[in-house]
Amino acid sequence: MIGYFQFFLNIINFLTLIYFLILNSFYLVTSLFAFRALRKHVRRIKAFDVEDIITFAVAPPVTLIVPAHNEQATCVEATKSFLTLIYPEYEILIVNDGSSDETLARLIEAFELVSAVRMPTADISTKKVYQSYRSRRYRNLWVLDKENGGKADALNVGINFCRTPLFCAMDADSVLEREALMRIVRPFLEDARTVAAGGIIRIANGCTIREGVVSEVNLPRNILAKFQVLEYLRAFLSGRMGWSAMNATLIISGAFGLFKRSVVVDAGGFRTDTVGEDMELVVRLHRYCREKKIPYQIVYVPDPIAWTECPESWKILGRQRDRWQRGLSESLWRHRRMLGNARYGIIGLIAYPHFFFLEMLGPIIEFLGYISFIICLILGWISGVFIITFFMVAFMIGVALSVAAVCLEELSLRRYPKFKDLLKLFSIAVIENFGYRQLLTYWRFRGIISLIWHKKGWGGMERKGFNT
Amino acid sequence: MRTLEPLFFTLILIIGVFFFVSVLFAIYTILLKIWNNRKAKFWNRLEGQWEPQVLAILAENQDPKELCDQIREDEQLYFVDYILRFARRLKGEDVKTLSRIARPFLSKVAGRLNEGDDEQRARGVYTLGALAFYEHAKEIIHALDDPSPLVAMVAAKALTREEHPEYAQAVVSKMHRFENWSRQFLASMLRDPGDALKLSLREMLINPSESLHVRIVSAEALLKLNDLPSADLAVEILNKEKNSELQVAALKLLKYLGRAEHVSIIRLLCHSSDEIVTAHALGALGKLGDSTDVPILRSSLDDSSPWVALHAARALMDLGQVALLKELAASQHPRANLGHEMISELKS
Repeated sequence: MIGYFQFFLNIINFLTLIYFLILNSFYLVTSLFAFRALRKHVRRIKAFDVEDIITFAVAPPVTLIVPAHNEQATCVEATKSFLTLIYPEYEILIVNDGSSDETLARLIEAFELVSAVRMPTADISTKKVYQSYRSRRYRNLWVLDKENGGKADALNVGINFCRTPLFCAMDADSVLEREALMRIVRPFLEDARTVAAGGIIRIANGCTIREGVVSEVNLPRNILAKFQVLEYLRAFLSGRMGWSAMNATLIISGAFGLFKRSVVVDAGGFRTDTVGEDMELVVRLHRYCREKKIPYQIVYVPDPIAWTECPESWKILGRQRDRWQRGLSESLWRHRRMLGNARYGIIGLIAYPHFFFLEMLGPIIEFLGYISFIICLILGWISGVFIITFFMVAFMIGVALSVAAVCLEELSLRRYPKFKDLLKLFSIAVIENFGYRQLLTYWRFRGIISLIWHKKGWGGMERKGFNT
Repeated sequence: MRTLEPLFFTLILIIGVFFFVSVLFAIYTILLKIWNNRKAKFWNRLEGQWEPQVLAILAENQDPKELCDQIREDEQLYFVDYILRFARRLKGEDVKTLSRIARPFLSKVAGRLNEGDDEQRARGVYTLGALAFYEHAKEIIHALDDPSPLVAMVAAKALTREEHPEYAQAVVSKMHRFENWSRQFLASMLRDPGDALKLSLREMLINPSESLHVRIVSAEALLKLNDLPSADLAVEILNKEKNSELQVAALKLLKYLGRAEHVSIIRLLCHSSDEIVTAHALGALGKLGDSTDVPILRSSLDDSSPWVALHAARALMDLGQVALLKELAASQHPRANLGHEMISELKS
């Protein structure tokens, strides 16, 4: 019996090792691709100035769709930032998703909203829309008040009322840089096959925002928020840019993504029965376009930036990561026929297996690996020196990848101008390996368990408002 | 334990390698930061020296040669870049003056058109196009054939500036190179009012052997150029072609450039099986039709497609049918809200 148990633990240890090697190999490869893509992009934007494009060309009109649920602390400031965007023609649709706080009242007061009729142009099934409002002062600002149905449902309402060829899905707590729309529309001008483009999300905690504009970029004071700054640099600069360079983008953040309206409507809009509606849509777009043989591309653009508030409490962060893991798992499971399927090209053969086995199932392997190592250590079935060595490997690779992400930031966008911030990020790259990463694994593991136990919902998020 | 020894040593080696890599990246990033900060300070200081002199030259208080003589060889390309950024804020004679300032150093930029990566070549074309177009027009036209689509597009942009409309023809002849670019973007580049260009665009529009992309871009460009004769070509296309995208492009032309005699073909397309064609046909009917078209528009309000209904409502407004729209708004019709929306648009 003990022999079988030991054998079982050895399997887990072996799987953990293999998982770890493959996962980090992927991260290294995407970092390399990201490095090349970012360097190329920085040089490209010098050759082809986006302002020239917009001032003399007909930039396609865009609708910003902003679902808002209980966003009273940030909705006015965020909306102000949307109104200051530099873009020739755009509309803003704030979709108030049955807020129980003062969100709608604050918007009505701040922007002089009055009742106005607006006909829908699509009929994706949604919850009831009670009323539409238009600003007397800002003619391109509309607010749609609806029955609570969740973020995906709110986005679908926005799509139903969208009249422009492109729409930008946003979060109500995000602040866009003023040129962000100009920058994220570029792929649609350069390649008419583009159906979706993602921008970069940065952490607003610690930054100073005045009149909807990020006037000073600082690292947050809260240690948890600092961890997330580094994590987002890794995720967006190393990860998503790398996948985009390989034409294998599987996720566009719901906080900032630009989509071709007609394709999304034809594909059915956002699914409301998942908490990962952003990823699910992108995966479905891949599937839809490939199955219908529609030439397409889905890309990431590194210079349009949306600043967003991140959780500063362990509890809320845990809920968020739990939800993200559930969303990821739901999306991947739903479209599992793409897994290893050559019909879906590099998506099916490389990106999907990576996300399915390493990102979706990975936390299970990693979490069990931790448990297994501890048991083996206690029972003397494995050398303590070996375990320490193994963790040192994990630690060093983690640090190397984080430092590489900071390096990519300095090579390309350089949003953190202070030297001391750079040094802080390096120290975070070391510290995060002692507890934070392990907690992330636990929360993601918990997310999968909650999915299996059919837990639904988003949980709460505390909004503190921007530092103005 | 012995069997684990090779694995153990491998792990130690990996630790060593990644420790080295981490330290290397960290040092590189720190040095890069220091370098970037120093570079920024250095160039800011230089720009601080150049700016008053450039302004003095623009005010004709200083000879450009005085400034040019101060530029060291390793500063030349940056100086050109600085002048380019300056030029983007100005127009007319001031830009010509800035071009004269940059001229001594532009041969260095021209030398880069045949070397380096795509972005470097594109930047070279961009610079020459903005600061010394006529002197380097040949190289810029040649860049239309560059294997990189980015370089070709930057060259196309440079050639279609309004200051030298005679060069836009070169871009029109290479339109097939830009099959993937946005049609609106391409069409908006071709703003030149020259007759030769319009002739070329009309030929491409009507030529069935041209690609769909080229034909549609031609239609969009002719619309932006307010080319009245192309309305007749649009009718010819609607009579012969079945492709819905081409039909939509032709209908857009008719909407703004058509005449009353074109309305019969438009009426036929108001019953197209393609909702986008129908919507645009209704839009064109609103501009060119008359009161006899009201029943068609009225019935289109009942169409299952919200786009068709929206275009029909707008067309009714264009035909001055406000009373009908008010009646719709006051009724129990499923599209009553459309009437409300049109009326409130009218009021605003």
